[in-house]
Amino acid sequence: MKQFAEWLSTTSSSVFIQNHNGWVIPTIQSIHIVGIAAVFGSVFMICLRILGWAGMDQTLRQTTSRFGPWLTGGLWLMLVTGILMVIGEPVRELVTFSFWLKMFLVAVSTVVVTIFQSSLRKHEQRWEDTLVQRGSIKGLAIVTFLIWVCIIILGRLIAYDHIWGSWSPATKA
Amino acid sequence: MDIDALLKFLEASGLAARIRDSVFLFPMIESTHVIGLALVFGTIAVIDLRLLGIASTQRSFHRMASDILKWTWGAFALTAAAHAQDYCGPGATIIEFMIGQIMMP
Repeated sequence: MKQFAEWLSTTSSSVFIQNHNGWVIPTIQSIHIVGIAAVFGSVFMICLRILGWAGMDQTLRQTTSRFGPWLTGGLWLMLVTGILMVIGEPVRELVTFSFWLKMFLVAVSTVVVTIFQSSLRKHEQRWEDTLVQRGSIKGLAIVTFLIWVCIIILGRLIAYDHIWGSWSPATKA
Repeated sequence: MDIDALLKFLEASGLAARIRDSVFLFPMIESTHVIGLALVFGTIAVIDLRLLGIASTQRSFHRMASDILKWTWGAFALTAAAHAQDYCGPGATIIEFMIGQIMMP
């Protein structure tokens, strides 16, 4: 991975970003945070609806159709800006424990959201009538929200990867 | 007020020393700040898009405001608290302090 990161840092697109580091990276990072707000805000609103703490004048389906597209759009925006940040600073991003744990959690939460959306489409009535009241579903909503909290913390920890001690590949190098 | 004296007072405070000495505290405070910021921005955007008539137009504004704004204020308090702690961290400079004042909504 370290070799790949070092190779990536010599490519022309990476060199371009490095040469304009004064504004390119901060701009991409800022757009990435706007993406976080869109995704995290949407997850928050859908979780609040499942928990019955907000949006109770709307059906579950109405809530997910309102916030689902923002969630998906935000995820795409974060994927694109995330890839650009990896190209711009490959070693800083890829040679960290925080980055890979974060990617694992992003994959988990994307799978959970996809299963939830397709299940809601197929069994809409069952979701509205019974499933949304189930404790296990409410628990799953809280877990999904907490996964996103962890994703945000891990994103920040990429800059502080040494706190993982020997788990961090950066400390070995 | 003498800003230099205030900054020196902050830097010398017990809280600042604890944040400086801890490996975890500063990144955790930053993360809390980002989490709060994302929630403030996300929930404000929901209200603003309704006001602009772009989304949720079939819902009453009053209903949405009473539904969502309490979460916005909660997230704002979290963000502000984390931000205040940031000032006590390493290198609280005058510029950082001033930028913080301008950026705080």
